[in-house]
Amino acid sequence: MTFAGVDVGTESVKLVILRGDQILFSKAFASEDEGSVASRMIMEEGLGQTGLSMDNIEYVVATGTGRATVEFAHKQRSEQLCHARGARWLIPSARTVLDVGAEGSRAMRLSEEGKVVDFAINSKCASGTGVFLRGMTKVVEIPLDEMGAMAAAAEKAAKISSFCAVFAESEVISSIHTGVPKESIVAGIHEAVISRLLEVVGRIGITPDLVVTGGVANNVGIIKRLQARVGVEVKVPESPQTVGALGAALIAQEIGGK
Amino acid sequence: MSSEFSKWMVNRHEAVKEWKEKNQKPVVGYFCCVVPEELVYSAGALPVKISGSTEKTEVVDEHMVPYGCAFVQSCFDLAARGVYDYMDTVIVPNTCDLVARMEYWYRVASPRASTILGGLEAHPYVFYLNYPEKLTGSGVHPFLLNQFRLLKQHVERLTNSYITDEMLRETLEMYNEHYRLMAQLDELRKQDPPALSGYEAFEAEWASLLMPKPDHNEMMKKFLKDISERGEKPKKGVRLFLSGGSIDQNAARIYQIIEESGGQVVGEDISTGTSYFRGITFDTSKAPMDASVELSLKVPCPRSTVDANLLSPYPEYRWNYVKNVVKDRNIQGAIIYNLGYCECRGLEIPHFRERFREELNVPTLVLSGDYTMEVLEENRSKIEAFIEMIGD
Repeated sequence: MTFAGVDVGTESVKLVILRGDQILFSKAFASEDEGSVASRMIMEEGLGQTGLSMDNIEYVVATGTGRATVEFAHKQRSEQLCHARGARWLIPSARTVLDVGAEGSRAMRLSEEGKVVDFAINSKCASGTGVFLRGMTKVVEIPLDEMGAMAAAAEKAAKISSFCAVFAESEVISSIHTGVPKESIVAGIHEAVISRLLEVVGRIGITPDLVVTGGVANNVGIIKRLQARVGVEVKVPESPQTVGALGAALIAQEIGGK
Repeated sequence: MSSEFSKWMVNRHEAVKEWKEKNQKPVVGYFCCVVPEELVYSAGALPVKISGSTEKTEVVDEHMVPYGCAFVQSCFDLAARGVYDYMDTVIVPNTCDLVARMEYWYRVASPRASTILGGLEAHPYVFYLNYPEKLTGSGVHPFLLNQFRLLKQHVERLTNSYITDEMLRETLEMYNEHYRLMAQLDELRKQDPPALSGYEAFEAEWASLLMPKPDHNEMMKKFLKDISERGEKPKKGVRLFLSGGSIDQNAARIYQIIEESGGQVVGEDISTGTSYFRGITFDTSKAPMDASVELSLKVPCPRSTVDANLLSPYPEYRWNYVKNVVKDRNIQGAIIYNLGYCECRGLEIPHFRERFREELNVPTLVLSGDYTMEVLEENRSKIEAFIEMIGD
């Protein structure tokens, strides 16, 4: 039997098609379309590549902030549950899962059996999310993928202390004007994001292994510096952006496979 | 099941004005549940709990700091805009710093002509109830008794009446009937699934704070009968305990969000009605004013202190109260909904979270609000995730 999980985020849509332990299709793409359109598009692509039709999919679970827009989903589940389930399936030793998406971050504490026992979500603030990093690329004029590597290599980090993304931008501009090296500024931007993430995960406490999921987990600067701050190994799944969709597919399998 | 109590939730101002027009009696507004509304009723006036609205505030910014409780700000704004002009007097207790300031602000916002005798107002519009901070000690009862006597005089002057012991005793008995009926309703919520939804129970509760108790008692008898006879029960959901301040006709939306997300509030501690008087009744064998004071001192309001000291700074009596409510209800989770800048509630949250987890093995979800429907709706995703987490 085949199952699917769709994760409709604020910037991208993700799909995982699962049969038993085998991932038949896994993809994330950025979309400006409305959730119902984007989810249908990615499902059509997934079906096309796997040679399946909708009739072959037993059960679909949708997650993400736009989960309610997925018209072909049988059930909806929260991001917390799906990211935790997906991360645990990929890394069975996971006890803390930190999902850092485009516009939100959330931390989940898992029991030894893998059940979510506590969670925390970021407050209404852009700092500590992917859009903050993306916004900063315009200020420092460095592409996002280069920024991560630069932050990972930088020895010193400029102090970007503001809690607010808007004020942080003026701090960065001030640093540029006072001649602070760009590597340090970029590292400082990453440190500011990590500080916000630690606030979120700090509310539930870190129990190793810590697994980071979501699009921001692809940023090596964030992962390397986060690891240095928390003092424990930070594990990142191969495709962190699709972990939520994978979790949704696993839940679909649990529900629909009964 | 839409109840007759809904009218008092949806259109409270009109409902109270209609009562006033029909009965030609004064309406007395009050803040907080430590106020002895039975004294007001005994004098022939209608006690009405003051609450805010979701309308944008218009006047309050001229008077109050922005970092104050949005509930109190809204209550003040309504008064300043004349919405509460139908109230003949207002009782302000010193239950928190901001509410206590209402004694001044209501005079400014809603000035009334008053006869001056010997430099003093013969009958001020606002009555300030000085309620003790610490509820134990030999001096507390006589102190509060004196405060209640002053309040009694205040409402007697307002209604041009004299409250005899017999009149007050009759009122206490009628209030005891109310508490017994609410206790019956509360028992029904212990069932699994509960015989009525949390929102239905809140509607009944809220109406009792606005309408005359004898009318409410009659409606309650019918309501209890209807519930026992109806075949359909509310949806079985994750059984939750709700804790938080300033839950009123607006914030009650949280009950509906919880129910829409697959949960069911089966018990609460929310500064409203039975959640405070649960298990307490007036001792009518005592002098009625003493009985009134005794009951008021038993209200487990987070603003008061009973047992806190330097060695044990945590409000144990509050936790014991919550633990007592929670038992027999098979609570699976607790939602703590705290309004921004509420220091009374905010201070006990870490303590409650820890005790829920360690003593009861019950997970908690802490939500913060700003008294707007928008933020309440924003909390929906957290509530959904919490209920999913418990149900998983």
